[in-house]
Amino acid sequence: MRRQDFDTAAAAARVAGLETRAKIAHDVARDFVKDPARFDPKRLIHLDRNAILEVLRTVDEAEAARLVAISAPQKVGDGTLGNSGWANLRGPEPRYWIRGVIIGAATGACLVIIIGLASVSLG
Amino acid sequence: MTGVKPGLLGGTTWPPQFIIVANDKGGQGKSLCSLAIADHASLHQAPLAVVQVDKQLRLANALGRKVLTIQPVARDARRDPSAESRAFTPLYSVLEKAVARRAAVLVDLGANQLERTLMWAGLVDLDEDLGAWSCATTIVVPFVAEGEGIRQAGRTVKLLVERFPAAQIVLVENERDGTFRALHPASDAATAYKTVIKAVQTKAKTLTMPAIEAGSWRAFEAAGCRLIDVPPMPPQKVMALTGLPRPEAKIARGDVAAWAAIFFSELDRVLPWATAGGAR
Repeated sequence: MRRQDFDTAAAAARVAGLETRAKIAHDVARDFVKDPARFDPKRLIHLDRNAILEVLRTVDEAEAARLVAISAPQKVGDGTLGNSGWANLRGPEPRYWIRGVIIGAATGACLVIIIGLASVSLG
Repeated sequence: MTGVKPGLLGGTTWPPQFIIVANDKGGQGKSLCSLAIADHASLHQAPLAVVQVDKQLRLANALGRKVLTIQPVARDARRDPSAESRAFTPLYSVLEKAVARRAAVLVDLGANQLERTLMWAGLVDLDEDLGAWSCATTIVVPFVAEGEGIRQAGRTVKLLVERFPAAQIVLVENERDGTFRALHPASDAATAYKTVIKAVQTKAKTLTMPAIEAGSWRAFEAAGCRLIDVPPMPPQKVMALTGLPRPEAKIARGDVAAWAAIFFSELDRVLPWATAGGAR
């Protein structure tokens, strides 16, 4: 083989390798987004720095899109509870101070009435 | 024994060349660098004899039987001191033949083989003979971005230049373990680079050996492939050789092809058959 033939073959092999690596990076990212629990990290072995960055970028974009979908406001009255977060579990705050004042006042009034009745009956 | 093919030697215009690839520390990329030089010569139709002074036979495995291997003879050397120099006699014969045919000789020095080789080179006064034969010497020293590898590279250059003062020095920055630009200024490697390599760089040429992505070469190396065989290989053959599934096989082939193309263009700057505009 002469140098020129080698250079031509090397350029073709390099392009084929880059295209395959880009496709694998795309497939790896897609499978990771689909089901992270079943993802096999060994699939990253043959990816170079650029391809791994491409995987991260794709996963990052998919995650960002998912978060945007979650935080989108629900239409009023659409009747669905999906993606509402913690809003459906929210209840009124307990008002301990007002409750204490009312119970205290009622107890005081009762005591005044009982003492009044007792003093009237004892004469 | 050698890679010198009589059929290839007629009509060549390159001066004879003695190329030494060395770093006394292992794991610096010497064998891969030597393989790349052998393949580069092959692409330019430059006749090249390949010799390895090593216990490991990585180069011989990749290039087949066309490699002269000089293995350590430590046990024999204790009983018979001249055994060491006798072990190198075939290298001298290869050099003589190559010079007569205006071919090049590539010597891959394994880890811890530098001193015994230099001792033999001193004994036979090799530098004087190379001068008499008008055979140029090139010293290629690969090293990765770690302190000890860099220090050993500096030591290797120093010892080889003492023995071959007129040699062209080529430093190969092997980026397998990270780039040299990214070294932390306070790291041991950065300090070694500043003190050892910067001092040598003024009289050397520096090449960059990029990292091969995702260990893609490993499967081909295990299968005994040459770099120049990989790019034109059909995916089915890559799959059969490496055991990889089709997509991964195409990726690995592409990575090796890209690496070889980059490193061959780096070697174009220093190897005579490329700089002289050899057969393309």
